[in-house]
Amino acid sequence: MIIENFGSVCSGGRYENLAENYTDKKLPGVGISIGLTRLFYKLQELNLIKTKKKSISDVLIIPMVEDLSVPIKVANTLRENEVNTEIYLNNKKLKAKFKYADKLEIPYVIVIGEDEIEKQIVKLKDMKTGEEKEIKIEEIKNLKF
Amino acid sequence: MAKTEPRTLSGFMELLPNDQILFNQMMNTIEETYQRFGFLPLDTPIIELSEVLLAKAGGETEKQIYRFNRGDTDLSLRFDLTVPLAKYVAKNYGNLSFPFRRYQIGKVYRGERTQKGRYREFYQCDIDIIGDGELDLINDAELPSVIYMIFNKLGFSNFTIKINNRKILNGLFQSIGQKENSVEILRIIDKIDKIGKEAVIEELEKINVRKEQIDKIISFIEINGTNDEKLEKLKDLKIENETFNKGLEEITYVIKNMRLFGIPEENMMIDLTIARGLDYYTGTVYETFLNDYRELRKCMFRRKI
Repeated sequence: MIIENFGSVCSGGRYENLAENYTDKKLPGVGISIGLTRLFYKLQELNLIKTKKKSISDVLIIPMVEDLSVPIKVANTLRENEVNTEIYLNNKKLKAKFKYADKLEIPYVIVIGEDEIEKQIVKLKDMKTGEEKEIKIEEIKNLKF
Repeated sequence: MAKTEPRTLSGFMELLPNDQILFNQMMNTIEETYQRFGFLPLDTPIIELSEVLLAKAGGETEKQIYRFNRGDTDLSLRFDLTVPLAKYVAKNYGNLSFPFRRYQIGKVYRGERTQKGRYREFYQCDIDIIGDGELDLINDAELPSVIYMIFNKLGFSNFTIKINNRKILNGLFQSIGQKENSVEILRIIDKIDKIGKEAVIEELEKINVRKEQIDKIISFIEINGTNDEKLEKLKDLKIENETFNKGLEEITYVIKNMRLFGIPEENMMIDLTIARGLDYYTGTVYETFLNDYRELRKCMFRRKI
């Protein structure tokens, strides 16, 4: 069954001479074009695609300290390891920061407070399972997401 | 302070972040696949000199152009990626290696009548292979395999790459003495999916195609069966026309090689009614259709785009 109103999503063909308006050179070719905007619109309209991701961050770092040097250092390490990382850089209560991660469905949160810095650890929370782990700061570079 | 209402022009797509992520994922899939086949990236300006961009245009296209003056310079927004490619290849001929395989993904602009689902600014994702003087027919078989891989990766399984060859149609018209009318007849045949067979016959009568000629045209476009059966039936028509037979030979070769490139039989189909790009395409033509979307819904959920 062909979806009647879907129409063609990509088309093309063989042509004899691409550039006859610009040159005497004979330039035959073959090409295909995908109309991405239209394809996307149609897929959405027919409810065929649903957004799975609301953010592209793997990790949100939630600093609960005044001095941001440790959170920034942790972020730098993660980013060097190609982990998409953002730091919540606005002074809000812990709850509001978690809500942000929740709303954007960021899969992991790292909390860094005074206690953690003293112990040279961070708290890593898996937002899906709710599971929390303590990770040594020096071991952040070995984390895989 | 008076506030200006924040509006976006109609016909221009603007997405929320979650949809934009999805859109970009689709675009990345397309781009990665183009690269997988060794196509070279190209980016040309959105604005060009009208004189250059409209060197060929006429009729409908010209009416849809966004055109304006900046100082004394007559400028236009590109309305496709093919004309800029033509300019680019002509301009850089000496510095390109042929066959020149390029991909380009970019926005183009057409002042279409605004209605739901019609965009005035939209992305085209193009691949072209340009030969210097000549380009072997096997290239016509490779392009659909790129499209096959893309739609597969996007999570679709039920789609059909339809293929035809303009020489078959042109040769048919020559053989029934309707060469003069061929562009008009093609235009009418092209609508058969939309308006149906009876309406097509009616329109053909209107332009004075004789009954026996109409019968030939209709029996031709009603050729059905598997791809191989269609090729066989085309041969059985025994049309003694050089163009027709060249077209038949070409499509037979292209189909054979599409199989070699790994396109499954269920995803490709000879469709003798496809006659797009009337004054432009000279041989192979393609259209891709997404089929039963209930099935499609399932696979979109299953697979990560």
